[in-house]
Amino acid sequence: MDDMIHDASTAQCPTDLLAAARAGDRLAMSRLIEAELPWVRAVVAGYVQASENVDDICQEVFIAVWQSLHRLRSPAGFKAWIYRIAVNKVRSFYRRAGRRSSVELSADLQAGDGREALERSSRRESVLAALKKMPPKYRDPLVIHYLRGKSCDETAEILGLRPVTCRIRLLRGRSRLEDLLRKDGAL
Amino acid sequence: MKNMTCEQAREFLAAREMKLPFEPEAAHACEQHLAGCESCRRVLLEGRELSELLAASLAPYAEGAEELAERIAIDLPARRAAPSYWRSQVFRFDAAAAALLFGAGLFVGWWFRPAPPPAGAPGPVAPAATVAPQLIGSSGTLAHELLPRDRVRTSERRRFIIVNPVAPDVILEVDRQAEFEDRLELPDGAGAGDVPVE
Ligand SMILES: [Zn+2]
Repeated sequence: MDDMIHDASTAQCPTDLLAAARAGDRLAMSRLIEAELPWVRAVVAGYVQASENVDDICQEVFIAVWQSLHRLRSPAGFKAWIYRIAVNKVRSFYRRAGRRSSVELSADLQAGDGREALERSSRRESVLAALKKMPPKYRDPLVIHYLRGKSCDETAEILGLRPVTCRIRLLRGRSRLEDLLRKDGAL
Repeated sequence: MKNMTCEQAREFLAAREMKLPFEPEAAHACEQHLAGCESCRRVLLEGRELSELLAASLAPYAEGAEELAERIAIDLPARRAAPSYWRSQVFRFDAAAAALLFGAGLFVGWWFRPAPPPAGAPGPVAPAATVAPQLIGSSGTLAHELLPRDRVRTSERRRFIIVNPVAPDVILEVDRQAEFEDRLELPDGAGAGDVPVE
């Protein structure tokens, strides 16, 4: 056990972490999950209306990643692979449950009290609601881009798009979001 | 680049907000445009506001990632044993054989399908209805891997056949690449070729 902890803490490079996780190191896996979770969560949340399902689906995503890590041949494809797993887990979630999306805003964003805080949180909810209304092809790039430090190449890589295509989708997505927020009075 | 239009300036501003690559001379042209265009200056400010709002709205997804990651990692089930190289090759061969047999079966079934009922009469028409398309389980393997490429690449007439090597009776049959990808259960069937599969 000590060895495992030692391995994971010295393996800082994502490729090393990946190799350690592949070999069954849960601590390394937890580091990998931690690094990828924010954008996976946001992507999943874009498809799912009830926010309480998001973390459950994320858990399913990472269980699938864990179980199939030995199938991943190239570490470079890791994030793109996770993205596809995430989208498919959302699909199977809906299929299993026979659910249709119903509009329900996320409750986890209610923060603070006072009118200003309320207004701020309601604007954020408007953004999330607007994102949910957007087609995934425009929403996912935007969400990933903002949660992965705005690297165009990395966003493109996760989505399996050419950087040029990704750039166009980001620009269109942003402008769609802007239109939706204007219509909603949130901008 | 000179004389940027408002449209070009706004696209540039949006790109810069998102840290997308741009040509240095575009930055210069945009500055010039902004100097003489009040409405684009307003767009610049609104664009910043949009970026901040979007970042703030998404930030909660990053919050608590550490705890959740830890919880997920602790609850990870025991891992299935990875198949050895040789075992997976044999596995593939079995699955390929199953796929070929199934394909042949479909063809025979289609060939000897019952005559269609007279017009107006209700009744099954499509031969595929004899096997309800079913989504493969988590151990599915793509026809891509199992069959020579020319047998899998779809045209209007050819169909994708996906066989689960663990339970070869569970078969997914679809017409188009898009449908194939839509209905594919990842990760074990992960991706039509581009997701690495050993
Ligand atoms: Zn202008």
